[in-house]
Amino acid sequence: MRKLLRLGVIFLVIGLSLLLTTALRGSPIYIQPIKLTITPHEWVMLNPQLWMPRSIKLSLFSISEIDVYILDEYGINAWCEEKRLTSIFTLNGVKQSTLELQLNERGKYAILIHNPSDLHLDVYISITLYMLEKDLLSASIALTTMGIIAIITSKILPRYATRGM
Amino acid sequence: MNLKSLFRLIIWELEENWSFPILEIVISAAIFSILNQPITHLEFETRYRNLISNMGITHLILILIVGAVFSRSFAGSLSRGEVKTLLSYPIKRWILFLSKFYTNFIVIFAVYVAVFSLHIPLLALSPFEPIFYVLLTSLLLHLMLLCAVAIFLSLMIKNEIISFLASILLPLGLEVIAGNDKFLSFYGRFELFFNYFEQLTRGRLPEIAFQDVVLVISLPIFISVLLFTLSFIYFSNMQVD
Repeated sequence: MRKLLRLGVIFLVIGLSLLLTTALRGSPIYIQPIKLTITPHEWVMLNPQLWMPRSIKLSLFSISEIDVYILDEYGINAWCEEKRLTSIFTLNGVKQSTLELQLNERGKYAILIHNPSDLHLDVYISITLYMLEKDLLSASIALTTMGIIAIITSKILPRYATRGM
Repeated sequence: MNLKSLFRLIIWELEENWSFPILEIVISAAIFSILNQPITHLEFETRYRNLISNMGITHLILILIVGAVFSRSFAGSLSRGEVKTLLSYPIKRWILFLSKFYTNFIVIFAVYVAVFSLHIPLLALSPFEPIFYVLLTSLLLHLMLLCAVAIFLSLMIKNEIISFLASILLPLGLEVIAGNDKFLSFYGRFELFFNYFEQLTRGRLPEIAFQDVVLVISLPIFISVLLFTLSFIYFSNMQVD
């Protein structure tokens, strides 16, 4: 029982430390605004980035309408290898917009922009990541719960064992 | 027989020195120091650079942990008379010394490796990412050096509190004096080591001389071995009262 109690305490400490760490990591990240010049009918994919399961705010500004696609790793591969468009989020015909995304998975993501017009366009994009990382939060809650269960079990089980005797 | 004694002493050391709440504090400190920074290098190709974004705090916390643990284990057990009691049993001094060193070194390194490993899923890295292992090697070398310094000071001073303070202040003081010197300061050595292997693993011709890397690796090993040998000889021959 003492070993179970110790294990429970260790799990609890790891869980609580991760929980606090998750809160500390939750500060917003502002990515430097990106300026792109897109030629008529051109498709431009920004460098793939590592995005966490947080909320993402994407602000766009263009002088004419553009199409914006958010691709995950599968979408990036499909686009790079076969020029097949498989996006997780699509925004057609926008000039100025702020969109908010809730990502559920950590991984490689990229922004693909299409200029359907006959004009040379300057496009400005700024990205902000905010809120807590969901996977880290779930893991810390799970570890804390496991720790609490192990501690309670180690306290309750000996009582039943004594009653049984 | 010696191996059995060593194993039993390691278990004794674990129960004595790593009881509640020491292990919990070390785990918690390691998690805070390694994982508290948000991911800032978002470019997917260079995301491994987040591994080193927190090395300053990690280094500071590591000095505190090593100082506290080794002072308690060596100087503390000497001042409390535990070593004298243990030596009244048929235990060889070198086995006692090694058991203390192995236990504390392995536990601290294991905690740090475990916490650093959390970076693999968090940064979507491959488990075979070479930079991750470069970082662990660098950590291992640095931990060896800090442990050797802490053991040496603990045995010389024999007072838990003073040896704890000395084990912290000496590495920190040297760090301040050394500034960003690429051989003398931890951060300088770490940066040189990391940059060399980063260039190598990313298919670039390293701009850093190979001799510098050899020196960066051999310097902590040489000092660690020297201090460790001196401490070992001193512990084997000292008067325990």
